[in-house]
Amino acid sequence: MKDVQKKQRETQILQILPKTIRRELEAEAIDFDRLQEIRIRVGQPLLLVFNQEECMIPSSLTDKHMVTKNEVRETLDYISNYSLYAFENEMKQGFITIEGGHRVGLTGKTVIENNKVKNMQFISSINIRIAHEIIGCADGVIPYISANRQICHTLIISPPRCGKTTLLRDLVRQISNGNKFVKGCTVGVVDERSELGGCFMGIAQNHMGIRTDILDCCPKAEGMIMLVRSMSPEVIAVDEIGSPEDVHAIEYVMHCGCKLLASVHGSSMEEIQNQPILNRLIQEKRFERYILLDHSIGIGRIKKIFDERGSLIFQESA
Amino acid sequence: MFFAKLTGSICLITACTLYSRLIFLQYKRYIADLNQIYQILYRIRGEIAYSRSPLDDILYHIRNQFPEPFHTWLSNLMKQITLRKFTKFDSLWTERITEDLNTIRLKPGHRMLLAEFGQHLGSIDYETEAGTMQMVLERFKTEIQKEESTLKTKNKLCNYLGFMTGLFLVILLL
Repeated sequence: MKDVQKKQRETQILQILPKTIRRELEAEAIDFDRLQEIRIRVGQPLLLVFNQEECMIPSSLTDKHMVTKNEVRETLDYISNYSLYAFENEMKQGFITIEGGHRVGLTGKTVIENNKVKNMQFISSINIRIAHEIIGCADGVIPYISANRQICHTLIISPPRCGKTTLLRDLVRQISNGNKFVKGCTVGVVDERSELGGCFMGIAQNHMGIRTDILDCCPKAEGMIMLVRSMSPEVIAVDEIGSPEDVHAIEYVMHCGCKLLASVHGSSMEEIQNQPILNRLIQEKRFERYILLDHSIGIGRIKKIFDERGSLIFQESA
Repeated sequence: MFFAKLTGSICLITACTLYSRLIFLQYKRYIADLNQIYQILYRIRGEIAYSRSPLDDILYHIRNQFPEPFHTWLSNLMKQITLRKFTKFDSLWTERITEDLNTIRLKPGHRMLLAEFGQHLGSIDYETEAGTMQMVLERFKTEIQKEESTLKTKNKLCNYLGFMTGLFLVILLL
């Protein structure tokens, strides 16, 4: 099973690369399980990132592969299936999600209209971030955020790159499928930036569970209300809340009897309490559990879990 | 002897007239094929404008609505897009026209116009693309109208030429 997934990932990545780079990667026998990023910049060497370490190819030669303008163009054609117009909305955000949930970041010259990015042209850099789903990373959290086989309103607090999206994704999967701590229930996911489901053409590329409905590329506040009205979810999950509209939508969702799973950028409970937008929700004890992540103890590791009164119910031992 | 000659003459004139009718029907068929191509291009433009789906998805949905050789053309185009073997879409588009639409025997001007439709397809932003597609479609429509306008004249010409050729051969042989 793992071999099939590995082969699939390899095919998904190789098929979007220009033939010249494809040949070199195949010759190098790259380990796609460890590969995190491929950075393609016009006029610069091709960079591969493995476990936070960069390397250039071909590894045996001193003359490294220099990326040409045509190779960037070819990559763009393959990424978009020769249909750039179909990805204009994604390009506005600076990335395209491809088959397999891998994310392709783009930079170039932005086209501005009414002070907003309308499109991007003359693409000069492409960053392919390979999706690595960590199934089971929420195993240790589920017992603390559930009661009577029901999930509690939960907020995940974490600085960037600590694995909050990965944790949220696995929570969604487990709640949707059900296990001994929670009974399987309908989960609605508002995936504004296609990070949770990694949707490609509307279909989730990550494992999101059997009872999950995803609204892809939809603004969070609007999406939460749409889901309540159309899909009658028992749980709603959203990533990176923060705007006043999000808070209104969260209140609406909670009033409708849905449980809420959300994540927010932050490094401590105090920091979140000091945010004017989220402060009211915390004071009103809207959230029943707070999960705090911290990279000092490792990516994706749970530092602390608090209840609605702010009492510590779990702490990672050093 | 006279009756044999008469029968032969009638047969010859009929054969020549029928042959000229066949040529005319082939020409009519060619215009019908041009109309089919126009409809395909129109559908592609419509699907891009409405759903903004990628080309392979559009081709997958529209291919079954068209007869051969257009069905094969669209299917092969879709397969090749998925295989990502061509560095540029326009070379794939042109190759498929040559390979799959050779039975239609497109006139060079029409072939060029069709190739032009695929030249920028999928490689530029939607607004520019919509304009380019519209321009090619309008030119294509004009070409079809031009061909259709000569249909009546060509019908008459074929009939007369067929009959006259038959008559000429009869005189020659007699």
